[in-house]
Amino acid sequence: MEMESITPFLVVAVSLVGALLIVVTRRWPDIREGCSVVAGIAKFLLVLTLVPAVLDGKTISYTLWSLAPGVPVLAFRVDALGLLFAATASFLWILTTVYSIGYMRSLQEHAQTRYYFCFALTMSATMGVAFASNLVTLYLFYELISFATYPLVAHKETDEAFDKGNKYVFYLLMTSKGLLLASFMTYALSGTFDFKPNGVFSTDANRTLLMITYVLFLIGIGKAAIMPFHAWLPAAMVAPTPVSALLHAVAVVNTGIFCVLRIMFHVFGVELMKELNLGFMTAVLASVTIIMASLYALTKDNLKALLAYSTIGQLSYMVLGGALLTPADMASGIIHIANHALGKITLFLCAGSIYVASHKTKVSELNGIAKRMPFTMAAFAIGALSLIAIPPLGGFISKWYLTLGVIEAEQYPIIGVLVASTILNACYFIPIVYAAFFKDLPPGEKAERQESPVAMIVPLVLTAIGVVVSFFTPSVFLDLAKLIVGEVR
Amino acid sequence: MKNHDAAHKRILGRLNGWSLSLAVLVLVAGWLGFPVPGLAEDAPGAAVAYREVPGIGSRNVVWLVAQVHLILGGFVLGVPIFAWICHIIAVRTKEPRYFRLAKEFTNLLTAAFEMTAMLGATLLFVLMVLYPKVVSYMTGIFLPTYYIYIALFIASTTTLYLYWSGFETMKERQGWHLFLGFLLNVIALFIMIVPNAWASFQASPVVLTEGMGPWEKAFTAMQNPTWWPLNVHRLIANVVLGGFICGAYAAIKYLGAQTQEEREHYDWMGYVGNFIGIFGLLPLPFAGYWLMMEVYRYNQQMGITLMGGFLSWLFILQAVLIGAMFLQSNFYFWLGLAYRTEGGEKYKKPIIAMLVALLICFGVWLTPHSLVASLQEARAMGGTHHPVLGVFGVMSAKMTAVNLMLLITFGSFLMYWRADKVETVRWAKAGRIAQLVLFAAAALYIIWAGVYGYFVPAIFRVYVLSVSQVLVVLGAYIVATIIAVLSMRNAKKIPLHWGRMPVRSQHMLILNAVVVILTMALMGYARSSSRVHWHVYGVLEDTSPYAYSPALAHAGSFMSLSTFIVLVLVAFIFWVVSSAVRRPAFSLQYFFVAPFLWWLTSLFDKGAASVSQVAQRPRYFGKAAATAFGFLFAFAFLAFQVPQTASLAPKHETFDPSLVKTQTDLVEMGQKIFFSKGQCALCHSIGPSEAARCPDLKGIGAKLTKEFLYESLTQPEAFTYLDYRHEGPPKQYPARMPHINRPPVGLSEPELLAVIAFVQSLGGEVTVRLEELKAAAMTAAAARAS
Repeated sequence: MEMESITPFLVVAVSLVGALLIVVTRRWPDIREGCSVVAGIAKFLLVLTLVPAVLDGKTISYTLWSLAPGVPVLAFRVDALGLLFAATASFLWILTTVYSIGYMRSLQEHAQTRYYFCFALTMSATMGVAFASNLVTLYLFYELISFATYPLVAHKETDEAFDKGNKYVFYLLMTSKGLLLASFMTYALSGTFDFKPNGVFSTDANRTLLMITYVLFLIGIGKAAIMPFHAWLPAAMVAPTPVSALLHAVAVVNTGIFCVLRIMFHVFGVELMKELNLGFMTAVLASVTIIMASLYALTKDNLKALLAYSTIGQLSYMVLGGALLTPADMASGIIHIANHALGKITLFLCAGSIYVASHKTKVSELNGIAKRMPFTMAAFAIGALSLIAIPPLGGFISKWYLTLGVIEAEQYPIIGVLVASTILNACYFIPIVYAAFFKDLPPGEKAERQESPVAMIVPLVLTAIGVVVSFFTPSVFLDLAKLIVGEVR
Repeated sequence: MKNHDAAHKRILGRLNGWSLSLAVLVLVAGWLGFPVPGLAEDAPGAAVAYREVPGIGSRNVVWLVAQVHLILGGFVLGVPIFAWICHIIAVRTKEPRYFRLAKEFTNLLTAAFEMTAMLGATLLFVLMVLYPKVVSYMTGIFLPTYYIYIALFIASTTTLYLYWSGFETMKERQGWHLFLGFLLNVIALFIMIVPNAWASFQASPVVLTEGMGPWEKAFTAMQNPTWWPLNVHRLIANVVLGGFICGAYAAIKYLGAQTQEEREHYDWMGYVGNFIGIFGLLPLPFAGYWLMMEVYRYNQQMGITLMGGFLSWLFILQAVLIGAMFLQSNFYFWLGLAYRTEGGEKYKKPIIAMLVALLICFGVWLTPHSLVASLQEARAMGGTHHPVLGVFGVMSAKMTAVNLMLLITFGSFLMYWRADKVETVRWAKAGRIAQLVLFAAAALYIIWAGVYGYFVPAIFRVYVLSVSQVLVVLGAYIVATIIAVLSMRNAKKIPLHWGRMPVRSQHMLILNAVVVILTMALMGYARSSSRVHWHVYGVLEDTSPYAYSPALAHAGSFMSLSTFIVLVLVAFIFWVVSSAVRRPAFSLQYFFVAPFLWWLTSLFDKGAASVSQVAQRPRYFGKAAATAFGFLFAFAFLAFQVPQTASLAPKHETFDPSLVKTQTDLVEMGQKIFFSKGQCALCHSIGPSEAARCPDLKGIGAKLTKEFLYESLTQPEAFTYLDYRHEGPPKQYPARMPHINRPPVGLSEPELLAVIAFVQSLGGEVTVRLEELKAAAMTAAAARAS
């Protein structure tokens, strides 16, 4: 059932207003940061107000601007999929903002106004993607994310930062032209830009052109980091750590996965995906990405680079879940957005905390560090074990459903991929945890407590608790996921 | 720098790989999709013919987006030509300032390219959404060329990047770097000519038969009569645009220069920009003339609509613009003579003579054919033509005026060229006299041919006299240039004093850019309006509420508005690129969006400093902007003052066979259809006519049977004379008879019979019987009912 409400637009607008206030109050840092946090909380609360209606099976829509009657350009529609993404991102934004304040102030970083402004702009655009009711709105906000995150990635303004920032933005802006082209082809083949639960194409649409359109979508959504369009993600590690958290857990990569699921479920529809065998093709791509990314991660000594490759692999779990097109698999793909976000943000917040407290960036430098940073490393261990899928942590839930779905779909070779990737995940995460807790500190380092500021510790502890809670209360995400699956089947 | 080089090579390697993969992907996509062009007529998007944008109007939206995109596209295609010419000069003369200029302008392209591409995507979007009928029809014909266009776009992007980065990485391999510049321009040329095929097809479509395959259909459609004239016209116009925009940029920088060194550099840059602009401007009218000639050849009626119909006043406005451009450019040359050269006073007399001649020509050019007059005034004049000025309103006088203006402008340039040199060849004086005699003879011939043109038939004037005037001017250019080059060999150089030009000279450069953009906007309206109520002339009718061509007040306002938007965008591009090049590490490594992104990153860093900078901004920019926008406002105001006529779409008439009671009624009904819904008179005349493209139908009733006439109307390909006159050279584009019973004409069976009756009445006996008409009407009614 459809209902009209301005709330989706308010969710998008609130961080835009926040961004403006950040600029206005740039001379008073306390007030400026206050605006960031208040905007984050307001956004999350607004998203929460949408939950009851969506759980009730309703969709909430609002059209801001139509070019012509029936052709909305800026229009929003909240369904379960968008709400799940928006709720996760807006919740984590609050924590990331608080963490950023500790990080930026501790390191006395330059251009903090620009930083918070771009942060807020990114969040506004992310909500725009989550609630986009059509391809045009989705594309506009998708591009805005690339523009708004670029100054964050190149924040350090060193030659390396510009070089890597270039790579980041080049990949994203060049691939997104594929998204644009695919959107036009979708309109030409279906006569609409709107998303619909069972897809938009009629049964007599040209099959070859549909397949080309789908491939263009996959290329166009570079933010999903499906190989070989992944290289921007490790490059973006040059960014300050809170930005990495934003990229990996809150806004950018989740946007990519969300868009892929949106295209699969609401542009092509499950039936057409099955008929054209597009799910299988996507699953193969995702499987290759999972294994390759895990192998790459094994070779990395830089902690953030390792986490980046871990993200590439984890994202493909979500793609894989969606692509297998069974109810359990689709649900697993959807809830993994939230579970991965919680786990990965914990790991990045820990990496930042380690850097601020000890200026260490390499895995090989972390021997015995848990003795100095027990909270940080405990949280790290929880995040890492969750991503390996060890119970009782949230990551286990998604992988459990994924495996059930694979069995249901009788795609047994995929089980091999899951087992292999789980072993590989363990191979690159367990040694870090082991070294941190059980090895001795390097000679010359004292075992005295040296944690980061409280503003950084509190968010990472909260996200780690979230990882545990999500195992015991899976219904928070699972109900929404079931709703989504019910809608699109 | 080593690091940058290494970074470049990496980026280049990556870019090559990706672009190639993307290009291959798109091409493969094209090939795969090709056998069934499913994006064409059957596409669901075509179910709705038009959509309306409330409040603004769909045509206005498309108009603005298309116009701004097209002009920026011209800028993006014109600037590489400009940059490449400078680059060649830099390599040949080893003068670093040319190298710097080429680099500075290639830098601009990065941002301009992205902006134009995004506008192109926006145009595609609004066209798909608002005019699905047109997009669907054009896609059905041109689908293969879309793939070519995408591939060209990717190739152009790659080449631009390589050329751009080559200014740093290919310093030791100038030959290859120049080749890349050449390649970039070749690809850019193709990027222009492919969409030109779509636009020119809309104006002059050729016959496409049903059996044609997709490629054959697309290429046949591309080769329509106005395609190449349009290509040449736009190519030259792009050079002019690139040159004049460079001049305007230099002017702004000159006005804001803090040091003498900067002033000298930007004075010189302004000169180069203006020179290249003029260089393109000189052949531009000839290209325009060729285009018009092809339009006349293709369809006399379209030519008349443009030059003598409701658009004739538009060409008065165009005359104002081009005249202003000539005056401004000459004025700039003259100021250069006065301020940059030693002893510039000696040029005073010839300059005054040239100014007077230019003003007279200008006056002639903007004399309208018929004047706006009240009834009393018209009676007093003896008609709408002024008894004295009226003679200047016709084409013969205008062609003469424009040719003389071209000759004078070239004279100004020659004077300037010689100003900093003392010839050392012995025959220098004789050479100067020879040039003077040449110019005088050319001017006399042009005036003679202009006067003689009043006493000969139009066809002789258009094809012989006008062409000869053009050839004489071109000949004078060539011969005078050869004499100048030879006489100035080993000439002694007198130093020019750069950086001394007055403020008004720079405003001329700014106005040149404004006028050239405005003229392009004007030509866009002219070309679009010449199709009157057709999307594709004579084939796909515009049935939207915007089928009419708007009056000049509306059009002039939109031309000014789109020029304003283009100027703002170009200024924005210049501004952000100027900011970006201050950070070499950044500007070297960043691609198209770099300037925008850098601008974003630097937004708040400046903090309080930027506020005080704004407060202290010198007034030169405000004055320059006021000059530009004042001109635009004046132009829009002028557009309101000329006679306002909109070209309305014809009403769709229905003919009721039940009203036909007698044979005479039948013939009368046929005659009405012949001149209205049937559109027969678009091509056929009744009686001899130079204008007619197809057989004269006088006396045809005595020659052809009813059955033959019916077949000719419904199966015109069954028996065709390609050269129906059987005399003289065959027509280059033999007009093909359309199927009258199919869209777009789509006459019903009773209407067909009525037309046959009318044609039979032209010298023959009418054999169509009233019973036949009634039977056909009943069958048609039954068919409609079922």
